[in-house]
Amino acid sequence: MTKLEKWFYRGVTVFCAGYLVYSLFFGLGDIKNPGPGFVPVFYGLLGLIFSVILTVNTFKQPTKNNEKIIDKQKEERLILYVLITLAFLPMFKYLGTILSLFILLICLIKIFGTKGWVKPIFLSLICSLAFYLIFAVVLKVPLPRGLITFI
Amino acid sequence: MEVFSQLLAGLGSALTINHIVTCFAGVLVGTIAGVLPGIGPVGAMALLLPFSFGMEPGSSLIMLAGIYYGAMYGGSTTSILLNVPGEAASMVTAIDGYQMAKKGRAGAALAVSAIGSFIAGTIGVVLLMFFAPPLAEFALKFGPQEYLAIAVLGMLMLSNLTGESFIKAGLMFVLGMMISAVGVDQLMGVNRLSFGVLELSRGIDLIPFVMGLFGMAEVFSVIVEPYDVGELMKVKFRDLYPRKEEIKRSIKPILRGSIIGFPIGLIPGPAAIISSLVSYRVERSVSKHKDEFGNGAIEGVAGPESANNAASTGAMVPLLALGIPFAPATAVLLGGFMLQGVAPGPTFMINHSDLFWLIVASMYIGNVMLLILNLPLVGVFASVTKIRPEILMPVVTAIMLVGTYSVNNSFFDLLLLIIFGLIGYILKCIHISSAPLVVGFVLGSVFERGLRQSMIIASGNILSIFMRPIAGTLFALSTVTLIWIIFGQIKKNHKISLNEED
Repeated sequence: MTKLEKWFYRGVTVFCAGYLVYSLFFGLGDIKNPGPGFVPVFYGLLGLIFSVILTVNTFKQPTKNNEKIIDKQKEERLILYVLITLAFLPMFKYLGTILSLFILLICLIKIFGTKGWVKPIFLSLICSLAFYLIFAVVLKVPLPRGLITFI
Repeated sequence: MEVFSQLLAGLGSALTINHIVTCFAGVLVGTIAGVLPGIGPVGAMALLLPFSFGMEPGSSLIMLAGIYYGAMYGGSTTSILLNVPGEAASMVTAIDGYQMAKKGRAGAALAVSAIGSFIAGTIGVVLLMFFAPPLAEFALKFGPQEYLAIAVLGMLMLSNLTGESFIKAGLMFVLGMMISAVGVDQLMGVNRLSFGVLELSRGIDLIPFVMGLFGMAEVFSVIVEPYDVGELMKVKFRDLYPRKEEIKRSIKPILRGSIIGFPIGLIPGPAAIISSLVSYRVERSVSKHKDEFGNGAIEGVAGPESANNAASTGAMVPLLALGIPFAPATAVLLGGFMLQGVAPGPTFMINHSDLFWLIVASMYIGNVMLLILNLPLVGVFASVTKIRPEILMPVVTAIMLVGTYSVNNSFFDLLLLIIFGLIGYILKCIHISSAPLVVGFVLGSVFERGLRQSMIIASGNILSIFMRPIAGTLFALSTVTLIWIIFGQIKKNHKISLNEED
């Protein structure tokens, strides 16, 4: 069993325990009229039972040593990708759709290791305009305009 | 006779320019999604769900259904030409399909796969046409107790059929149900499990959930391990024609695959994968050319490909007739229905019979389109895999982000998309399927409503829930399933301990 798997089950156990305790605050009601907390408590209990069984199993199974799930460079690439995607959220709100998509696409394409700038810039520009056209113009979805308010 | 007249009316409606174009768009996108490793029908449907928002209900549902069964066609292309299944259900096709390709019979394998898919898809639609309306009529007798029983049976069957341990699959299922409980309580309107966050009060939407688990997780996976599709086998149009003997050997497997696949589609779980595995085993056991299996047996392509298409059609029956999706793909379809303000289920056939027959008729048309598309354009579709992941994945990410935002205009949904993407990626790393999570999420509300309403109706007499004939039968089936699971687990543990002693 890998380290990630062990920590996953332990994390889920903690989550289920917390869920169960939090659910108790919503009222169980009674057998004739179950309250809003009744079913979440049931879910929490069931989840806790399953996760405890799996967690106990993690202590019995040996950990696969010398196992690197991913190498350092790829790990950094993944972290960077997630961070850029998260950074997109405030960009999307304040800079608007076209600009934020343009920046996002350039960054993501470069993270993948694409060499040069011409192709990424060209592609990002085309795609961000295309997405805006499809969603905002064709499908009439109200997307954030941000700095580009004249469109 | 009424069925045929309604089908004709559906065909009349489906053969308008608008519906033909959306059907074509759906099957084309589905085929491409099936060809591209990782994206799959669920990811593609979730991606296009926001696009369908602005369409009228018929067009939207035709497109989404087209993506679903179109992906089954596309998945076989890369299985045969590259030994890379485009989607999970086509992995069985790769066993013999790729071997046929290595022997220079790629064209025949592709042709038989497409023809088999067409025949099975058509048979599946015919069976859907005859099964769904009477099942929906029967389901009008269902009360909360029956829906509760279906949710319980669904959970037990799904946990047993994913191929993982029952406890792991069960845990995933329950986690999905736990997530479904976040937000305003259905019966009393109480805001629960939201931690005072306003956006969580309206619950967690299906789209960021599914897009995150399937789409975003796949993107993260490709970042870490970009796929390399290798050398693409070239197939000329004139090579597509199978030999007489290959056609003769394919007929019975295609028919068997259709009959095997459709009922498997009715039960919860990854129906397409299970049906193709079962079909492969059946073909190998009845074949007069057993030694060819694994080395390029045409039956090993014809049977499984037919089965997975029939299963994908069969999976539409519980969705349309009961309003309950038993697979992630049909869960996304349910999302499509809800976005259009249409609730599938027993009253769907009564209130929206024109929409039902439109969808059925469009499935006939879609199957014809797929046959026409897949045979001559097989080289074009396969070359789509040559789009470099460093271009494709950022574009897919951007589509997911904008698409998710467009549903509720919510930035919080974007955060959820990324969070579920990370969860889905972790599940991939530890080899746990996300499918039970999605089905649990969808069935969670069915289960809760069924349980609480049943208890209110029972007024303290819980046994009365089990006394109803239909609910009682379903609960009995659940008990048998549970006993089967427990015995299976005990047998498995006994085998393991015997092996360890040896």
